[in-house]
Amino acid sequence: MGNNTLLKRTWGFFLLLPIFVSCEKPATSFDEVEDAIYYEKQQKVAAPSPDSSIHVMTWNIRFGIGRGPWFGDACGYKVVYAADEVMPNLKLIADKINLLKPDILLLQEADIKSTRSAYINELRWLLDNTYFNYAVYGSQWKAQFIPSDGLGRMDESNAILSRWPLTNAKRIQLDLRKDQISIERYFYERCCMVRAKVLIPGFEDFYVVNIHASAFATDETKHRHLIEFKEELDRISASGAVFVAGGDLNEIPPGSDSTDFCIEDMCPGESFHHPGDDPMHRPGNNYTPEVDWLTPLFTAYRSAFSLSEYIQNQKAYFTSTPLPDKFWERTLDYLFTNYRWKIGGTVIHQDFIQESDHVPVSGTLILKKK
Amino acid sequence: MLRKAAITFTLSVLCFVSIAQENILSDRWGENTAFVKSKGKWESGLVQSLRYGVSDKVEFRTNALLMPLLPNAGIKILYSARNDYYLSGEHSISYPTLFLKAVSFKGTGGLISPQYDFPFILSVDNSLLVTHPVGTSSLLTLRAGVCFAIHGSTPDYQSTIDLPLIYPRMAHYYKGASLRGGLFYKGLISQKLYWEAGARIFSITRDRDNLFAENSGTLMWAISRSLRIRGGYILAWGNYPFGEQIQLWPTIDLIFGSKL
Repeated sequence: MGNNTLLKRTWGFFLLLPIFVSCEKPATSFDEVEDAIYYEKQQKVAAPSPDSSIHVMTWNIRFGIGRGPWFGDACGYKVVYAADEVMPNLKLIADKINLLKPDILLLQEADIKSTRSAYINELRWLLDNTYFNYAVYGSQWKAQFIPSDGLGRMDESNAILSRWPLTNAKRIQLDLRKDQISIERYFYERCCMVRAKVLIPGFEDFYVVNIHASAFATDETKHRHLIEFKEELDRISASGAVFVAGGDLNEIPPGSDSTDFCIEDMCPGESFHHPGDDPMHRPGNNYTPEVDWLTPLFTAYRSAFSLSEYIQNQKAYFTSTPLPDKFWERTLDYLFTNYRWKIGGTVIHQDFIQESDHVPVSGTLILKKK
Repeated sequence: MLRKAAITFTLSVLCFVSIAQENILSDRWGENTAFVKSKGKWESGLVQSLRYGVSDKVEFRTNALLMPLLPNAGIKILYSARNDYYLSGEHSISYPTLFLKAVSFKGTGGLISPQYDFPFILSVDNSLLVTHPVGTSSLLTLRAGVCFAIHGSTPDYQSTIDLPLIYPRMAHYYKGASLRGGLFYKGLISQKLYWEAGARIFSITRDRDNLFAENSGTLMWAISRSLRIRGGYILAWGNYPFGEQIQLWPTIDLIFGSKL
């Protein structure tokens, strides 16, 4: 072989090599609907065969940093948490899950190898350290490297964990925010729903939908998310299937007494509601223009707690607060079904004050016999 | 007799062409070879370091663009040139503390969380390069070196920039020394167009996040006697704090300097 031929072949090899390699984009975008990612425990825990009801819970676990002073939402300074800070919180979360024993768990903000949570695969860890056998997730915020605030690598998931097999799991894209410049939007979260069919013996026509709606959009984005969520539930309902759906809707119930938390949750040095303040309202804290955005959901489907119960004693249903030293002050987390909840089976776990800035909400769902 | 003269003439011409072509390569693309810039000649790239020939055996080098944030300087010394084997050493130091502090801030562009502070860090890099011409128009270079850091206190292990190309080159600031090896093969396609294929390996002396490899392919075009443009790719694989990753990066650089 001549020298030139050898050179050409050498160069050609190196030129073609990268074409066969798949690569990660700086930030990941998604199809409108795509397959969710499946996890499965190797050593399965025997799953019960329910005869009439199951226990369902939703929990935004705040990527395992508990009530820590994270910079993004808690007037904090910290962006990155170390493994010895995250692991104790994850253990607390697992302990509470093992104590309450929901059959199906909707998780929001379970990180998968993100810089801010010490690269721990929190979803895998929770699956391995609880009695759940199966999990599916869709990424809510995924970037190889976010060049802002030192956030670095990010993969925040919405997940469904189940004792029984999950199938037909999809990640459903929600509208992107339109109140951001394009470069910010490129690296920002892409809110989503995760839908899966749960194969409960004897009750196979059963779906779970988990949503984490936008927290900080200042435009109509969150409203669109809630509409898209209801449209998805309408589709499942129309097919004759039963669903349980919920998550962190980042929206307060209709009829809430307090609708603006800008002043009471203001960080030192901030100013809102005064002429010249920009923004006029603290992002994610003014619900006044949004008070009826959940009405269609409450009208069409059954919430684990009814609006009338909520109106009578609102504080008992509060599920969240952004500030580390405050008690729960607003309701953002919900469970809905198109069938029935067991009366008295709903619990807002307000005594869980360490694990996250949201409390878990659980309910007992009656299963529909064929 | 005539045949002998013809063979002698042909071999002489081939030898001359070979030397001339090697010279073109070493003059126009001395990076990743053992060759140094000729005395008084200089070149720089937007990415590539500024190289200046102090003598025919010593070259001064620094990355001028990075200098305000990442003060750095080095020399390359041609130690030996025997039997078509060229041996040189690259020795450089840099002070990355300023850079690390500069990219640790709140808001857009903050690559590192502002919660971290960085101590005094001095990075020391020593490498040996051996270059040998292959055939008439290509050069093969082997590179080996060690890079270590002297620091006041140990920076937080989580305050790294976890991106391919960057992480392996900064890993030794945090823990361990960086053992580096490389193999580069470059040649002529025409008098104005050259290519290079390369491979690098970074092994960090610690028990995790410690192995990285890069494969690169580059084409360089000599636009004029003092201006060249080059571009290609780097395919990077590594064992990062979040796990293994493979990533393809485009590369481009503009090289300018003394007329050749």
